[in-house]
Amino acid sequence: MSDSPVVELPNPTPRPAGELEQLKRIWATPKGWRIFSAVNNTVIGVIYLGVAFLFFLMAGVLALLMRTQLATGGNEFISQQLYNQMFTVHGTTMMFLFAVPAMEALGVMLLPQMLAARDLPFPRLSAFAIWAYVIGGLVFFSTIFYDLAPAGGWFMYPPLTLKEYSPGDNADFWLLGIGFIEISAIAGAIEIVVGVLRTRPPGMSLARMPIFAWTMLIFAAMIMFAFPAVILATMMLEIERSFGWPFFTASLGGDALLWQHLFWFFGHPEVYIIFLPAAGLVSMIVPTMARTPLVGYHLIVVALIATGFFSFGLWVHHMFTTGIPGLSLAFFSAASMAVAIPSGIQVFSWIATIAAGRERFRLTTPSLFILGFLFIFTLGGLTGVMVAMVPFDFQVHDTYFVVAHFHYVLVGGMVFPLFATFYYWLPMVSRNMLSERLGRWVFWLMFIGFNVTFFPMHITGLQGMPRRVWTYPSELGWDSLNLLSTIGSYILAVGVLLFVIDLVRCFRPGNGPENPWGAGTLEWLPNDVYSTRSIPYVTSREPLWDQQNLAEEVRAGAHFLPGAPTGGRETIVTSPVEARPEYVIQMPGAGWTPLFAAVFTAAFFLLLTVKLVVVALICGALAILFCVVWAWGLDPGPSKGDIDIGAGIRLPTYMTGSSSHSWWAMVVLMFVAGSLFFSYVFSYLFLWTVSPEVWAPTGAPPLPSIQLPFTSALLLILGSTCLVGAGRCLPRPGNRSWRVPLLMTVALSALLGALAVELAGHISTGLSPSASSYGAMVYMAAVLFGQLAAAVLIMGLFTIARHVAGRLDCERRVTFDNTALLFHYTVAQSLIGLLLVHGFPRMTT
Amino acid sequence: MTDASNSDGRRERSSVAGTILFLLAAPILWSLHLLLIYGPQSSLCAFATAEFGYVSAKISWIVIGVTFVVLALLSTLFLRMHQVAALLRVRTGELLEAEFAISVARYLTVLSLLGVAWAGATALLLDACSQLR
Repeated sequence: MSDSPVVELPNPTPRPAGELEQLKRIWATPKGWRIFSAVNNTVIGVIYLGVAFLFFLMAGVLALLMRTQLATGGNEFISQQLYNQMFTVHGTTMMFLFAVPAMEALGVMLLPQMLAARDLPFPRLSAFAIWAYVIGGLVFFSTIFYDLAPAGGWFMYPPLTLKEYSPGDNADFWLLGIGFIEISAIAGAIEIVVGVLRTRPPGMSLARMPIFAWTMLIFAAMIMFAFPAVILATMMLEIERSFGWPFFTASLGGDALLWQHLFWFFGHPEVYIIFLPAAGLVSMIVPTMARTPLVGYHLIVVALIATGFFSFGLWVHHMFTTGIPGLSLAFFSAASMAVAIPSGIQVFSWIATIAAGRERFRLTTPSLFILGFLFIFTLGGLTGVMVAMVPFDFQVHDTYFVVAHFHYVLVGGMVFPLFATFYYWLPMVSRNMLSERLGRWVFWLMFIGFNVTFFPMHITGLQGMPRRVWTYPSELGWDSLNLLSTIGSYILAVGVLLFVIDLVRCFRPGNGPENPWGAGTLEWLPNDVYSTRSIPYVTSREPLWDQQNLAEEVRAGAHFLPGAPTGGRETIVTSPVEARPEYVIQMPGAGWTPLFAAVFTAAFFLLLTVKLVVVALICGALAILFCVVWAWGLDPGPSKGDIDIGAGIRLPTYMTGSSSHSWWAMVVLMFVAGSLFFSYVFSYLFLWTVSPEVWAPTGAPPLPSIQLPFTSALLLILGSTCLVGAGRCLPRPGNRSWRVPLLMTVALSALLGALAVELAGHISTGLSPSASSYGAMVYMAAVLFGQLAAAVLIMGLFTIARHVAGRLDCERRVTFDNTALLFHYTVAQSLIGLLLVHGFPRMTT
Repeated sequence: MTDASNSDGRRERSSVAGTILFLLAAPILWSLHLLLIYGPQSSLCAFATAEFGYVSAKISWIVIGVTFVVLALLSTLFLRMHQVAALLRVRTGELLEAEFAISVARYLTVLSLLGVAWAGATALLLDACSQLR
């Protein structure tokens, strides 16, 4: 497929009678209380975004209460303990429960429409991630109402958050609750990566992809590599709090700075994880309002990729004052300043697009929010360059200057584009527009309120006001500026309140125009519950501007896959680079299993927090049971044969191996696991450099005999070999082979045996995980190994069961391939782990 | 058309990893540079209690050496962009894709060159292990 326009449309019109009705029936949204079983992106995307916005409002109310407390010096409106809980829950909610989920929600909601796919490839995974987030998030937020909220700041630094200094369950709610929500974010990221790369319409090559899809791809990739670091950190801190393994206790060889490294390795990319999708939204709105294609599309893609990478090289700039050598600081200072370049590229590109417009830039409400974003975000970027300079950072670290800086970046860089998005894309969801008149009031109140609130904080910071203080003495001269900030926050809140009123008034199904802004991208095609009637062949970046009559052709069903030839939910899977049609994916419909799996997963984590271990374990088992029931209905096999999608193209309805979307999802999951393990290796080496004196063989019991790790390694290799053999023994369809379960059982036993030998070796030497950071790190390697082994065991037993039930053979083998992939990954990771744990201490003596 | 599509599909599958690697080669080199200068510098400084000045000078040379190697690799990538694309099996049959990939990779190389030179140059100005205050 090339740039040349298609002369003949893929399918003849008019379409057969009943085709459209069948599509509507298959994709119908469940009614009444069954809506909670829906998995369509159009339903769960709206729920996801709605809940994220609810968290924004609730965390905003906390901010207003805090500003009221700070309005005057010596105020006692809120107690110190409650204030500490409030700023912790405010920051945590805004970062973990609002900003990232809101962007992921927009991905779930907008991407299928922008890519003209019927849905993302794993709709039930999306539903699971969303319900897990909703339940976990609401329980976490509610802790503020009964004095159970954490009080250690959104970054939860030890030693303050260790059991000695933060007794009770408050910190555990953060560690288990947020850790669990991060897993939900990763599930969403897997969905987005595979969705963007594999469910684009034919012809939409990487070079024609909407910028929002690019940003979501990079956003999801960043989640894959950033979130595992904080997941490991939360695991270690929770284990230290619950079992006394001293990862962060200096007297036993741990180091509180390890937390900071892991947290900020996640925390700084997090800022860009939030900003990049927002920048993508801006890159979609600006060309529409300027009536011209985006200037510098290539450069924007460059800027997005560069920002994605550079953001992982900045984490130490949050630690400039921790005593790290000057040259290290200089490396990160340089990277922190360098990241301003790609951000600048985007800003200039947007300005150039506005200037290059065929007509005058339309000053609608979305445009106002975009202009407000440009102003605020640029100021935040400039103060970002200031704090990237080490000597300046020394002066303003932990002052209100930093509070002003990051609110300019985050509110400017994310909240303003999000409000532009609400005004711009609401007609796509409800066919009703929000009020333009009220919208201008909302914008100006928010813009003025924001600047009145946060600009004075630059000055209070420079005057020395430290952040996170509950109150301050009046005689320091900070009262007037703080009062001004408080007045500003109420103006900002009135703006948000007006928006909510308008939303309540207008957010309902309507009959407005399909493309009210005259945009050029596919989400503005006529759509219904099934997304678009037919999937268009795309020849440009703005198909609705460049392909005459595309909307009518798509509505008439003249493009690809106008019906539902398999009789179920399906969409086209295309190749990742050039978007050539490869096969048709059969997708599951509405179901309760994702919801119940999410409920019991949330219950497992939350009950563990309050130490109801037995009930928690029962809930964990139920969560696994529901996942198994859910997965049992997947992997449909090739029974539907090939189908005609139009233009004489016949595609298979089932795919195995490296072309399969599930193979891609498993590879993404392996990257996540690899990133977690990389963070572990870093932690091990970091603690060794800090406290080599507690390391074996001098500071701890000698290592187990070398035969033991060799035995473990041999068992691991045996397991992998057996699994390869089992793959070769898969019989023809309709047959069963006793060799498959036998070889798989041997493989799983070998894996568990390797873990047992490894644990037994360390226990036999008398090494205790709570005696030193060395012992803790050694057993942590086994924890990571055990975690993967447990997942592989469940998947392995599931695979055996499918074979016994006649649902797995040499053609219908996706389940087996996925299990094998994770098994081999587990073996590879465990071998490296053995080398580190048994080889490194021997090497350094 | 189905046969042609299948054949093209197979060719593309084999080049997906190459295309991704080609697009990301420069920022990956930038990341490796940061890892290779920060890792040794911070760990060696952690142990540099005795013979402080000697170790510090050696660390500076490590940073400068790694920086030169990575700059050379990035320069080669910039100057031999088409050869690298061919080596990594980036498909040049589709004109738009090829131009796009090369343009993006080239700009990323420039940004990475800047980032590497910026971070590496600090070793010429600062002592490797001493605190700034």
